[in-house]
Amino acid sequence: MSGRHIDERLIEGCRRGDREAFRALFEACGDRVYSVCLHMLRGDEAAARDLTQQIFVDLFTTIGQFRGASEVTTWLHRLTVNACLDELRRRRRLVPLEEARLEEAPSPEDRAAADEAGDRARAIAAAVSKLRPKIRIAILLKHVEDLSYEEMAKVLRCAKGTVASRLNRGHRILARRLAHLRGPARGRG
Amino acid sequence: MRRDAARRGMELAREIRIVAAPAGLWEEIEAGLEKGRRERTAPPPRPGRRLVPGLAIAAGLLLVLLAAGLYGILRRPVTGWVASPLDGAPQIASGRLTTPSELRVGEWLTTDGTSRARIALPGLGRVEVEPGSRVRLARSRLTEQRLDLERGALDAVILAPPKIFVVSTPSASAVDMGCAYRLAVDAAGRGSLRVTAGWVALEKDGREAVVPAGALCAIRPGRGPGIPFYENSPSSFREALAAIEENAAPTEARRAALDTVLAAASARETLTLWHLLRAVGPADRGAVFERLGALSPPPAGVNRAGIERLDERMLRLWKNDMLRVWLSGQPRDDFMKRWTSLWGYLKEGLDR
Repeated sequence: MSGRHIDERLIEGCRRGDREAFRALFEACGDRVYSVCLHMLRGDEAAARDLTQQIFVDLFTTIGQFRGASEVTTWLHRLTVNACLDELRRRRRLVPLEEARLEEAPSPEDRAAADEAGDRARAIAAAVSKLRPKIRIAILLKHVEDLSYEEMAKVLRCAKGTVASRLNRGHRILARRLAHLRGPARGRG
Repeated sequence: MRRDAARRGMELAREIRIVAAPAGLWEEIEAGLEKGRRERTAPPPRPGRRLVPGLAIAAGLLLVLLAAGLYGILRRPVTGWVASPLDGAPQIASGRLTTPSELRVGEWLTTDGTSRARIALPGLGRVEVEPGSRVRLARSRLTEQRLDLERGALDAVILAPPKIFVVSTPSASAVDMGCAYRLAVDAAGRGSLRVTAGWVALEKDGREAVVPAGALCAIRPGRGPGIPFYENSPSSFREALAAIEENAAPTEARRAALDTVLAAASARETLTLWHLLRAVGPADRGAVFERLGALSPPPAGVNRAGIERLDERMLRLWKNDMLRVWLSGQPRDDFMKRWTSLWGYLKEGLDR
């Protein structure tokens, strides 16, 4: 998200309360924020939509406090991470068994269904959704938001080594769970 | 093998699909912004129905009585501080301390260059008084246990709930927040606080420094607490910080030192940057705000203008938001731990 169609003039417009600037900022970042929410909430489109709305309302309400594109995008990432993790915590209290299923390997039925549908993207999304939240958010910040290790450490408030370790662990789990997928990668949908 | 798996996983993760935000989401955001604007400008809600006056008066009286009873219990003097010799021949009041003896409120404990002593209160914790020190038990109540350290050094390990145990020095007071620390001060009031577990609030005339485990804070006569920093911060950072503390006037050298501090700061050094906000002049405060905000974006309700004018509420909100980073690696202060420490302290105190 960093730097994608976001320049200082756009941020200055948002700081002044210009709705067109807000809209441009949403258009530059909205898809990726929504995608992170959607993957974090295991494909729950309604909840991802609500969360994205809340994140942008919070961003636009507080944007006057920030100077410069990098501060604003860091803040947006942090809002996204906090909103997703808070929502998962809330759900865990409501459905305590849900997290217990996170580390389970995909069932043969899941695998067969994914193979049968030939839907590689769905299989990857399903595997991502089964990662533990801290690992999942790291994978999404890296591969959806395209953040550097340093940016991720700042957003997640941890050391760069921790970021690297979570990513490494996440990649290995994905490789293991998606071992049945073969063939070259396709372009992004 | 593991590297291959990680590489394969990375290739798969690159295929994670970016999904377009649903149509109409922007309109919902606009509606949310409009709703928020209306709520911010709406008049305050009307007060609800009043309680039946008689019932309210009776409830109020009952509360006053209960509060008065509780106040009496909490403010009554507590005895039970015991001083014991560790090395040499410490002095208590006017006599030599050879066996464990009660230390009464107002009494001094003095150690010479070769003696050490321990003072302890069951349920609260213990304090080891190092050679060359003079310490007085200034106050002993359930709600406040206070020592005066006139000179010398002490090591404290405190188990009681936060804010009960305080050590006053001529230049600042160390308020225990559940921790272990070493406090040293010389006869001129110059000294330092080094925290090894938990955190301590170092106070003087309304100024407060937060000193978490691993951090060190200087105490200066007439100026109170200095700017705390982690002892394992980069040496360039610590040297530049010392230059800022030594040069109160806004000189070129101080400005250069501030630039070095800001450039060398990482997430943990937000501890120092937050305290720097008060230490620098208005002209430099914006630069500190920007660097601090980049390392730890301010929470909702905190803005640049407020921080630049040192708004106490905003400074506190931001500090509370960063405390968990400053205390990372510390044992978690959970509900059961707090309850156990409060219960142990009250039980011992009420038994006496």
